[in-house]
Amino acid sequence: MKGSGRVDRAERRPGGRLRALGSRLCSPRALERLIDPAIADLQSEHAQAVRAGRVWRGRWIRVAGTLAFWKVIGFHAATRAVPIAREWAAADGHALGRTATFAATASVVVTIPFVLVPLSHLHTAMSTVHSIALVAFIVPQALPISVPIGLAFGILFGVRQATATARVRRSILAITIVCSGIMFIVLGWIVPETNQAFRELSAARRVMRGVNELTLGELWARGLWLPLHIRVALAASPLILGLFAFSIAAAAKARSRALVVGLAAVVGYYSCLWILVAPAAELAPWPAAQAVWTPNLIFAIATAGLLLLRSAKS
Amino acid sequence: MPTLPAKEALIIELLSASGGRGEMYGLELVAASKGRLKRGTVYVTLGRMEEKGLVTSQLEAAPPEAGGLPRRIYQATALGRRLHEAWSHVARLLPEFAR
Repeated sequence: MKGSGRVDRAERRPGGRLRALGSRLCSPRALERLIDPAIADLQSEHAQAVRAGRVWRGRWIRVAGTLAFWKVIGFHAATRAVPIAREWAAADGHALGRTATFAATASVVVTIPFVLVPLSHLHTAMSTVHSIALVAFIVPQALPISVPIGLAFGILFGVRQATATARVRRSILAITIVCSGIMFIVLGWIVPETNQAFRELSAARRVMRGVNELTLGELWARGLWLPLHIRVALAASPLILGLFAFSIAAAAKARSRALVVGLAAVVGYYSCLWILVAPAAELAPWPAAQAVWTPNLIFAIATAGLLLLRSAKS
Repeated sequence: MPTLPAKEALIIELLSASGGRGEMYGLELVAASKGRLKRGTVYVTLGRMEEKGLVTSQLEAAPPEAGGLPRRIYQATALGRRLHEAWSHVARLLPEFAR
């Protein structure tokens, strides 16, 4: 009975669920021209195999047809995404396109020293494969610093007072939230693993995990609140610095002035964070774990003030 | 100057050489191409060619399997065949350009 049930499943016409899914994901035209032909051919090919009693061939056709369906969806999405992305980048005097380009460039430039400095301290000769692996393991630890800085400079270069429209503001807000979300995952789970892998590969032996090699869940379980707060506060930095940069770019009449203020702000932000996570934090009148949030709080208040001032002026 | 990507040229070639029938299903094109066309991309290419006016398609009259979706069958248009001829000519004279 069990065997016949399996054969029944194999003989059932495929594509019904895929088509229902396709109708949700695609436009009616794409459904008619791309999805339906793929599913109709899949059903026909499958029916031929079943009629010929070739159960395994039918199963293979089902799998291949499902993969083909997802490929069609992927290609269709890519084809649709390109003009939408172009339109998005070109609107408002290319503000978002310029921001994205400068942010990506600045992030890469800032990442390079964070990768080269730790690598320069290694004295062991390594094979090319090991060297590439070390670079791959060291990059994630640079991202929580380089991405917020890159994002802030991208915004300062890309957005001008005249192009700081509501659409640009919404897009910047969305980008900074997404970057912060990604940094939360990077700092919480990816950096501990890649740090550990880097240490073990460079030492060529197993190494005990330190605090920096513990995930957020492990820090929470052990009650290590200061490193936990530092990581979450750092994860919020793309949002905090990005919105601050936007408020500066939108308020400043000259870009050079915005850049000078922005550079000073970024230096101030990380200096403040550095001082607060250093032993001096232990001397603060408030708990050290909460003290690491001070730069974020100061910048959030400054951003809100600048944006309120701008809206009052306009 | 309009160009004809290799996959589009292959599709027109296969449709033109389909044993006098002049029309084929997407999967038939994949099978006839001997691995040069993939089942995941052939429908996207055919859709794009239809938008350019290089191929035309119609649904088959009645699905052979009761309840199944009707299959879409494709044929090259006169424009598609002319462009293919012109492109083949260019490819023979200027292979570097047509590559």
